[in-house]
Amino acid sequence: MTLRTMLAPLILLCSLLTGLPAAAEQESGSPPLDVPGLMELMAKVPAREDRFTETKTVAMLTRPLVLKGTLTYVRPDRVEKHVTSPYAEHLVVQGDRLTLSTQEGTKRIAVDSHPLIRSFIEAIRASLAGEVSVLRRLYHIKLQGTQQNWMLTLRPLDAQAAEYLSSITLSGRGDRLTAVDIRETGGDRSLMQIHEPVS
Amino acid sequence: MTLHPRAAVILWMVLLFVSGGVIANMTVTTDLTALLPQSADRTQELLVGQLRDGVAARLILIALEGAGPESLAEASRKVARSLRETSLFVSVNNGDPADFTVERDVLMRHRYLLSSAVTPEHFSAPALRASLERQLQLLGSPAGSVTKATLPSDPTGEVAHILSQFAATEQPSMLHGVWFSPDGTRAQLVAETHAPGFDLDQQAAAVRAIRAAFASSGLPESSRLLMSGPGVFAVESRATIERDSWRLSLIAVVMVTGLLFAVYRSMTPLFLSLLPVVTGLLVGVAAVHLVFGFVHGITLGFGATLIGEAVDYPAYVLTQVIAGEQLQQTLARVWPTLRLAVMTTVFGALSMLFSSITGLSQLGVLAFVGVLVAGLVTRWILPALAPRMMRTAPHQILPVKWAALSASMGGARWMLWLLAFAALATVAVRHQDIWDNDLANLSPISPSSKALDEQLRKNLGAPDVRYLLVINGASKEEVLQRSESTAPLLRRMVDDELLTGFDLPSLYLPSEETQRRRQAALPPSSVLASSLTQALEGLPFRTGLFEPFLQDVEQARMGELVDIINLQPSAFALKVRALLLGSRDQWTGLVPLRAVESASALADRISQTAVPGVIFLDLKAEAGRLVNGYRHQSLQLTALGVVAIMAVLWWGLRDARLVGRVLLPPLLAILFVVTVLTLFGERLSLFHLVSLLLVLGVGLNYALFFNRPFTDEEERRRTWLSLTVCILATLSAFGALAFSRTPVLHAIGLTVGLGAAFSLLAATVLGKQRVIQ
Repeated sequence: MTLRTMLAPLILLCSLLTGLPAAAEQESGSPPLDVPGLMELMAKVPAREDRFTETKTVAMLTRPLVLKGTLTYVRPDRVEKHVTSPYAEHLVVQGDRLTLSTQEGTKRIAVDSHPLIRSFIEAIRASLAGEVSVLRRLYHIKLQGTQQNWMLTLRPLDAQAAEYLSSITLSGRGDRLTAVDIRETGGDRSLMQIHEPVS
Repeated sequence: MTLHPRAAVILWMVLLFVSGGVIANMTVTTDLTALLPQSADRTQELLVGQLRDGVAARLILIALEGAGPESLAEASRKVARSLRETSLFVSVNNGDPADFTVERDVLMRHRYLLSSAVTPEHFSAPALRASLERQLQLLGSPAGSVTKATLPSDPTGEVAHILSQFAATEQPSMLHGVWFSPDGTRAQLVAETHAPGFDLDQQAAAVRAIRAAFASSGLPESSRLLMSGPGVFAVESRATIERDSWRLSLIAVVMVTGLLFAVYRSMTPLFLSLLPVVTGLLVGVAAVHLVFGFVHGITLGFGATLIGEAVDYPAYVLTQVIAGEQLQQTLARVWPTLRLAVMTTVFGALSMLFSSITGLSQLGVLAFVGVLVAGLVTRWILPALAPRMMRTAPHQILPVKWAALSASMGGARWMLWLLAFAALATVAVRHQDIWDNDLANLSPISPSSKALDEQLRKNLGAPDVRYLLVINGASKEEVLQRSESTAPLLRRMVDDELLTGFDLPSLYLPSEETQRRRQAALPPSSVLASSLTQALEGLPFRTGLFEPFLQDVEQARMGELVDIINLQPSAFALKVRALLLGSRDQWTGLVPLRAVESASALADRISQTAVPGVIFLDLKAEAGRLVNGYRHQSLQLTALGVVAIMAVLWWGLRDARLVGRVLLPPLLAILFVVTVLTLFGERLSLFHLVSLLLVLGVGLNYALFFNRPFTDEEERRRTWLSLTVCILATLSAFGALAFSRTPVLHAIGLTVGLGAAFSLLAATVLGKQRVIQ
């Protein structure tokens, strides 16, 4: 129980941060892509707002949970996840602070509550900021596809993390993130699909 | 009185040997309770208990600064980890939730008896439905990953509820997963030592361990470690006092040795001068140990001051030596006066023996035995060890014609009386400003350290060291029930911003009554199962998922109540132990308060409310009262001592006018010292008071010798030399102390230095030297 509890906020962050919208940009051609190249591309992402659909498959439940809403990202460190269906929930991460507002009230939590989790945040922040070296220190990285259609698979190097988290796969087109797929070792899975930006 | 010199020396050596043996196995305590009057009331007992053993006294607040927040956070974890590896700390907390797993497990096990949410309605179908819907929503949110693990056994979220009860008050701010100052420049930790606050050796070990942990935390050179807390302060003070007293003692020894060498021009008298006081101190300390079974640290500290007068005894003899005579012959002349000097001090000390305060009576025994032994050593051992014949007479060291000076001083008598009346008037007018009841003023801790302590305490929400609520009761159950009734009161006061937070014993250990009520609120297995089935209608949870929940509720319903032992090994058990004290029929609950804004408003509210047995305790005021009582008794006993001294003087001098002339100078000197100190804004503490006792002893000796009948001018000259040597020795020894920045040493040095000077002055002015034809 303890390790799962410890790692939980990590998953939380992954699901949050990897859902970041990316700027749509027309790319001519499909040059071969490497990790540094992708990082460079990601680093240019400005503030954006996108719609998402998140499907959570949890072993405890007989049917998956499907959440819909919008995702907002403002450089350098503000993320908002607004769930509109099936219930209303507003979640804001600003730096170290997580604020969760539901009908029942508002809760504030210090996200960054474990060195392990911190390293994950660093990984996500680093990928957005284009800091390859930080990412490499924490993850085994595999990049597939082309700039037009890429897939970045992160597997935790840390044994403790690997015990809980199987992989995080980010997919995208150009500097746009289209999906985040988080797989836990226990079989639970969260797939977040990111649609067109809110106009 | 005759005693064979060899027999005297053998006796002396046996005495030294026995005393040395006693001292080698001596127990020195620094425990404050040992100094308490036996009649101390419950509040004072509590006060001392808190001072020596309270949670607040065992907390060390730690801050790391001077590096980037990330490195500081990492260092905070490293420091916490390495401190936990030592066996010095009960707990080391840096806010990191990863270190909270044991506590979580304990809460999980006893959640249905510890949670205030447990009521009969809590487990009805509609309430369960609401809980389950909330859990479902949580599963969808990022928090779901946290709740998932415990969802099957805790769908009503009791653990989270209990934690929110604990964290009802504001938590320290966090950065990178650990506690930080709100501005993000300092990573902060709180360590609680195993050792009580008064155990300075252990506290020093804890401080060293923290320094070592910091040094190996990998922070850059520019970073700094800040520490604060009663234990840290006490260790620092002790170090400062030790450093200061070493340095100043060295200066004093050099000066006094130089002085004595200038007078005697030989090593033998120098060595002889040390014997009485050293023997007196050794035997005196051994006597204290034999009488009380232990020696208090304060007794040792003060004792050296109290019997400091004995340093003068050999001087009175050795300066009177006529070249070519035996020391025995010198003694024959001086002894009657010296005997009186010794006896006045011995009888003065006698009064302290009757004190109900152990500390004072220990001082009494030490002074009584120490001075008596020093006198006897001067009388019997000095001549036995001295060379058969004193070859040289001591040298005059001051080129002053004392006789003339004394004669001219005699004319200044009216001025002395005038000054005395002025002093008396000053003291009468300013009698409010004379005494200092604040122990803190004697601490050598700088205001900047105090400010740092306040800041760290505030940032961390550590309990206030000064204010406390005390809940008294006849049983543990009564105290816990009263604690529960106090909770809403305190919560209201937090809302009204009288304080920022509090801790209650019942928060961690509810009363049996409350636990039984909660147990009764838990539905039987079959009832709960059917409510749950009803609540689950249409929700996507798998069938049988909540089987652990049903089992745990049934277990709590039929199981035993929670007691302290069940909370082990979590930090909550330690917490309850610290907050709930007692035995058989007297129990006390302590309620630490955080950041009290208005003590008087808080005290008013507490006294207005009807919860019986709850009192508001201001430790500082209470400590002041304690010191006050101590001082009050010392004053009474000193007055008694003066009466005893008068009787001894009458017995020795048989002349009322002469008794007056001997007794007046030291009393006037004390009056002048008190006046001068008051005028300079220095308030008198216990340390001053004990020093004044020494002034009385030294001053009496001056006056006794000054009024000693002499046979010729040569003898008068020798007496002047004695007094010169004695006053110069006292001035150089205590004058050095007066320059110390340590308040305690400064107080002693200034008081004794001034007092000795005033005594001699008054003795000179008031004295009449009789010539025996």
